[in-house]
Amino acid sequence: MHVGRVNNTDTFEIKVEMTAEKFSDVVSEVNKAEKQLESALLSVLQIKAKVTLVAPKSIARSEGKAKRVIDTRKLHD
Amino acid sequence: MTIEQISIFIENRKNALAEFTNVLATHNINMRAMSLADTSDFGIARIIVDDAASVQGALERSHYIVKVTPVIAVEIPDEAGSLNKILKILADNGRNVEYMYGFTGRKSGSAYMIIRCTDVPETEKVLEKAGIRMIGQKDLAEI
Repeated sequence: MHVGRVNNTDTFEIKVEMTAEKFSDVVSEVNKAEKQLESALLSVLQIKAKVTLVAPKSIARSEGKAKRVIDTRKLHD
Repeated sequence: MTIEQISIFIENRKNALAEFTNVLATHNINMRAMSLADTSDFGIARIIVDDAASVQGALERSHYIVKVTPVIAVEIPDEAGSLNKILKILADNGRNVEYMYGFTGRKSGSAYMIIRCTDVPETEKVLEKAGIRMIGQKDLAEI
């Protein structure tokens, strides 16, 4: 998860690894899968997030206290 | 008669495409045709190779998400108007083309169009009836 700031507005991006089950040869179907995830996040968690599909095994795994949220906002300058 | 197209999920980030072609080069895989569909978030590379099964295995072992899709490959003269003839046949028979891309045969001198359509068997029948030559997977090495 990546929290950023663009033009004084917070942004929230969630990277999700693509799976063989979700992959389709048709671009519109993959786009639809992205949008469905975004809708589900909004519906269940009331969070408006940008979902970005990434390659499998591209998100770092870590043991113990994993850093899953990257916050690049500069709030305390 | 169809051939097997391999579709590969490619992230939209710097070097992603070069990493993919590096896997192909490392495994001595020669692409006969390639098309890259892109969006702002990701790309889908569609490739035609002589041996789809072994290429699929090599890519999956390199952690790529791949899908094999049957597509129609029509042989057409490499001259103006030949593609128009094919598309007119498909349109006149209500066949829907989702996407297509072309390549030329290194031995045959003909042009080939890869056509992905919503109803492959029905489209095959239409093309066959119109006397259009389609090639199969085994023909790829000969053209």
